[in-house]
Amino acid sequence: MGPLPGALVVGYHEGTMTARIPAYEARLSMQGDEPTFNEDGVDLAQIRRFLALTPLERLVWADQTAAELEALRRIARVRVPARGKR
Amino acid sequence: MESARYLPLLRVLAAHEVEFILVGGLAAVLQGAPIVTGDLDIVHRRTGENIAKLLAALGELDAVYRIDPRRREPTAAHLSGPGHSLLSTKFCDLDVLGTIFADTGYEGLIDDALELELGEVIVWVLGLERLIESKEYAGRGKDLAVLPALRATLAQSRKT
Repeated sequence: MGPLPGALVVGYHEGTMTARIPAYEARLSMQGDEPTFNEDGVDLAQIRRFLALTPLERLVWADQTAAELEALRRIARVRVPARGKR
Repeated sequence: MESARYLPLLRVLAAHEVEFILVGGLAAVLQGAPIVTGDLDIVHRRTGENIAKLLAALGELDAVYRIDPRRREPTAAHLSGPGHSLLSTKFCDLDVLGTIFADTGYEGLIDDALELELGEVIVWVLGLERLIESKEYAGRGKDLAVLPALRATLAQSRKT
């Protein structure tokens, strides 16, 4: 699969990370006429941030996030239930 | 592996003894919901003493408003109101919420929160029932989208 629409194809795998950073900043600053959140409450700034990543970086983010959430979930122990359940 | 984003941030809040309730997607995850979230949402207690502690913690976290091109830092005035401060920190995005649905603040939520132990960090987390209510109340597309997963998680948790 090729890059997603709007994705920046210059990635760190080509050793040109600096070319991507200005584009990333440019996307973040695209807020002049654009809302930060859409009518469904979706964070458009976050989407812009993700669009500025390469597909591989998005995959790494998804992997890391899923692994971190799973790690937290595994160590979570209830000490005191909500009062309605005491 | 240990969480490199969420747990360090929670550790800083705990070290500063900030009173808060974890809400939003991470609160649902910690109660078993199979969803993915990239930020951390808290409702803080809006007393002068607690806001001072929160500001100290936010300073340590290098927190700034993430949708403000001037990258301003939050102030006591910002955190004293019922509104939402959408921040970025050195660990992950952090939404600091004065109130959530129906203008409900910390005091109106704490009875429906449970105390969770995350290793050495202790946090209060809004219970799934109330989280579902808050999503239903918000009624936006992104809130409605996660409701089936939250309701199913609640139903399963009641069976176990």
